[in-house]
Parts: sequence; C-alpha cells; structure tokens
Amino acid sequence: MNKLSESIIFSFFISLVMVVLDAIYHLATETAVHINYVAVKFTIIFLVVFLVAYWVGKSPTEGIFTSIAGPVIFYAYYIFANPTLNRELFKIDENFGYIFVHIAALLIAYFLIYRIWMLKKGPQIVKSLAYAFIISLCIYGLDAAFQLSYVQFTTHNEEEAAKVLDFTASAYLLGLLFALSFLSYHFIRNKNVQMAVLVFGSAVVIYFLGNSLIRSLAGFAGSSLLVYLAKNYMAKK
Amino acid sequence: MNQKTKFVASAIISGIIGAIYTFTPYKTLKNVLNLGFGLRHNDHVMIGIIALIIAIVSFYKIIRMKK
Repeated sequence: MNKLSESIIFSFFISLVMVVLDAIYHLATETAVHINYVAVKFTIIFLVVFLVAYWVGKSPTEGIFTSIAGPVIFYAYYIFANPTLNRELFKIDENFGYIFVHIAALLIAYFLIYRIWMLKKGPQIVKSLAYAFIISLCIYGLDAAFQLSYVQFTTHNEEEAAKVLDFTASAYLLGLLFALSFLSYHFIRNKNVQMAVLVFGSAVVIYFLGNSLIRSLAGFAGSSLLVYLAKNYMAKK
Repeated sequence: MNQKTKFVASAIISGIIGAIYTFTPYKTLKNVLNLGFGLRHNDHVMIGIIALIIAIVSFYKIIRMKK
C-alpha cells in the first residue's frame, strides 16, 4: 500500500473516532449533534490529519500539532460562518471552551490509533481492547451518520435531524458493539470467521436496537468497509 | 523547484486565498472583489478554511524541514 492510501486510511479512522468521541460528549451534555456541523468538523479534522500525515509524517509530535491545529481551525470556521441552527432551541459546541474538548478527543483518537498502528508486541488483551474500542466507535459513527442523513433527507428539517440521536440508546449500542468486537477479535483465531462474525453481528445488533431493516443494511455495509480496512491494513502495520 | 520552495509557495498562495475567503465580509467579496462565484457565505468560509489548512500545514512542514 502506498503512502497516499496509508495516510487516507489513517486519517479516516482518527477523524471518525474523534468525531464520535466528541458526539458522545455532546449527547451526554445535551448539546446538539447536527449533521451539517458533524460533516464540517469531520472534513476539517480529516484534512488536517491527512495533510500532516502525508506531508510531514506520523509521530507523537505530529499528533500534538494535529490535535491543537484541527480544533483551532474548526473554531475559526464557527466564528466566521453564519449559524444554521436556531440557537434559542439548540445549544451547540461553538463556545471557546469546546476547543479543549475537541483537543482532548483528537489526542485520544490520534494516540490510540497511532499506538495500534505501531503496536507489534505487547499483551494480546490490550491489543484486543484497543481494537474493540476503535472499531465499535467507528461502526457506531457510521450508523449515527446514516441516521442523521436519513432523517435530514426524508424530512428536510435540520431541527428534526438534530434530535435523532439519544445518549441512552447510543450507550447501549456502543456497549454491545464493543462486546461483540472484543469477543470476536480476542477469541476467534480465523481472520475470515472473525470478520464475518463482527459484520453480521453488528448488523443484527443494529437491527434489534434500531428496529429498522434499512438501518441494519447500512450498518452491514459500514461495518464491512471498516472491518476490511482494519484487518487488511491496520493489522499488517 | 526544490521541495522547500514548493512548500513556501504553497503556504503563501493558499494563505492569501484562505485569508480572502475566510475573513472578508460576504458583500465585499461578492460585489467589490467579484469573487463570489454564486456561492453562499458558508461555502466561501469553507473554501477559505481549506486553503488555510493547506497554508498552516505547509508552514509546519517548512519548520520541520529545518530541524
């Protein structure tokens, strides 16, 4: 795999984990998780992580620079762009203090994935836990993105879409996905069976919690992509 | 053109584009500078922010090249 694809996949995982960690914080503190802002946040963080990884490299120093530069640039977007959500109805993460939340989320995401990327030796249990944490957050992130975009496209109402995600439901889904990822990665030795269990298991978990076949199919597609990238790339590094 | 010159040029050019699109008021950009291209204000800011990201990372690359 060449440097370009490597940097794109590395940045994709970091940005997704960062955005999901941040979204969970927002759900827990009743701040709106809004598809437009999530998309802008993902784009900005992805570009910063990608350009630094591709032009400069991947290291703890680059991780610290990325973790500070990304949220500061995102804050600049908030200051200069026009608001699209009614601030009387929704509280969003536009205050200065949220920069620190974003920096913390990006630092966690960068160092977790950087360690997993470079982790060749070490206890299997730590690798399994870290892998399960990353993959469950990513599967949840793609499912949440699907739910937000689906409501946005069907209702054309941003305020409806901003109310879709709920902390309790998200916590149950994340917990189940984490358990599934950990058990499949830690106890199943055959890689193909491991991937199949994780992909089908994720689709089943999403179906039973969401009670929606279309969401389950989207979860199947999203988890297939993530598991394929993780197994064929992250595991080999 | 060596690598350092490329990154210096990239930092300066994208820095100027980024500053124009991010910090200039919408009406000035559209009516005075004629750089609106029929886009909304938030699209201009997004273009400006992307250019600023390129400028900042290019600048960071130049600093890292010196070490």
